[in-house]
Amino acid sequence: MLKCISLSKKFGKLLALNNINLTINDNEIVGLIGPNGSGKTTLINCVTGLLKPSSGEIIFGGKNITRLSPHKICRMGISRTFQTPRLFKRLSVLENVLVAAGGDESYALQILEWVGLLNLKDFETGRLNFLQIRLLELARALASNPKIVFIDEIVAGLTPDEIEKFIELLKDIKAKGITIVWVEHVLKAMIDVVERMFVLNEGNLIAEGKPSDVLEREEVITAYLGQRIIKK
Amino acid sequence: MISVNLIGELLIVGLMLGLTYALMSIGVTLIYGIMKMANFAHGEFYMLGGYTVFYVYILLNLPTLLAIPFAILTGMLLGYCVARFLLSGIYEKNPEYAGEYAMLTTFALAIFLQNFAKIFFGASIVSVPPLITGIIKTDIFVLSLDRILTLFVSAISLFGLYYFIKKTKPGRAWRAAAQNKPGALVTGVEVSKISNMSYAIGGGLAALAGGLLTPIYSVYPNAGFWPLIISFVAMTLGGLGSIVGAFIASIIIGLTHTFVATFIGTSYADIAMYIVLITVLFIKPTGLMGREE
Repeated sequence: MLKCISLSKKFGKLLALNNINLTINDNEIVGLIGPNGSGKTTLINCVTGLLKPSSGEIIFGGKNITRLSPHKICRMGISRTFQTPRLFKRLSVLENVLVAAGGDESYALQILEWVGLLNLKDFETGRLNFLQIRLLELARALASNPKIVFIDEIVAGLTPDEIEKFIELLKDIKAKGITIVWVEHVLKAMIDVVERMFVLNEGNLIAEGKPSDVLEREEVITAYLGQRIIKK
Repeated sequence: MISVNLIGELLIVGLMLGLTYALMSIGVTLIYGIMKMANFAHGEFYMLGGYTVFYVYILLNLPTLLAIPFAILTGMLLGYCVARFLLSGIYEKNPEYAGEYAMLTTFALAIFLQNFAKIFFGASIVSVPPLITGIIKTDIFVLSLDRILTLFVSAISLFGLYYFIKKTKPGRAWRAAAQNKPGALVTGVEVSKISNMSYAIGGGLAALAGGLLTPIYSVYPNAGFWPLIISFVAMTLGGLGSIVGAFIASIIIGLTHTFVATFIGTSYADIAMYIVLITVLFIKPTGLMGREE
């Protein structure tokens, strides 16, 4: 359903994404991992249109979306959450979801109930706590009726119980027929959930496959732990 | 002796001035909120609104009041064209520093429009008759009707804008775009369209203010400078980006100007405005309604 073909992104001389080729299938839940600065968020920014790739193509549902503006890409069915929350702080919780839901109030309320924020619907978003912010990010990403949703480091900093809640929510999303690309720095949470895994390091796609296989590979371990430690 | 009548009159005149300042400052605030730049050409929309009323009056021989809609239309149309053809390219091609480049572009536009006015409209001051003649007399005040009408037209326009932003679906998207641009973009909000519309509406409101005040203050090519300064002061006093703040600040400035000019002297009116600004910023650096992020 989503295909990146020779996708590259340069910031000045820095090659943030180097010739990325990947395919994500219908109703799959895949993990995208990599150390800090490996290009995970840059990849999401390119796919969602916030950044224009330097070269390469992004194909979604058979259509080339490489140069489309973000609102069009969203309306075609790609949505995301942000690692650093980008909610509308002075809008209420419900209004945040309504913006994405195109004003469909009953649908927005349904989504809020699903993430467990219904009782806070008239609350000002700027006053939410850390967990609630993450939940609202997820609710808003779902409200635009996506076919594929990118989850950017949503469980970082949460307790094991809270992480469990998110994993349940992600399974719900998949059950609705939505494809999930889950980006995470912490591996432990996603290993049992994702069907396939992509590993980025310094802008290169260094591995892809089943989580158990991928995590065995030396280049992946090296990327995460560093060369010197391995050699010792 | 200061009479109750005088106080009543000054309150109404101050409120009227404050509301016309609000037409200016809310436009500047709206544009700042969405495009993240200070619109230096805002005063020129005021000036062109004034000239539109003048030329409609001269050429079409229409009463001043009926010329007002033409002023709004001129401001909106020019505003839309400026945003669409001059500014939007900056935001598209250089998003990181778009605000800075766009701001300097509006500064250049302001200089261009002032000189355009000098060449095509002449450098001299032109006047138009009042919006409406006659006076209104009550126990508390005697006022000319055009002041009252100006007050009402401003109030209705501002209420309309407030309703649009706070209560309608597109208004909600506007607030979303102002509060978090990337968040709005990926939730399907067409921020570039909203930017163009906010600039058009800002231009329309400034031209409306120019149209309403030209019967009182006349118009000339540099007439926009003073309202521009007031809008910037009101926006800062109210708290950058806060529309309610800009409104309250405008009313405060309008009343300050009127009372200080009457009781102390005209030349002290602006000084008093800056004293209010400095005092407020000293106590609350984010302005009246501004929040620390």
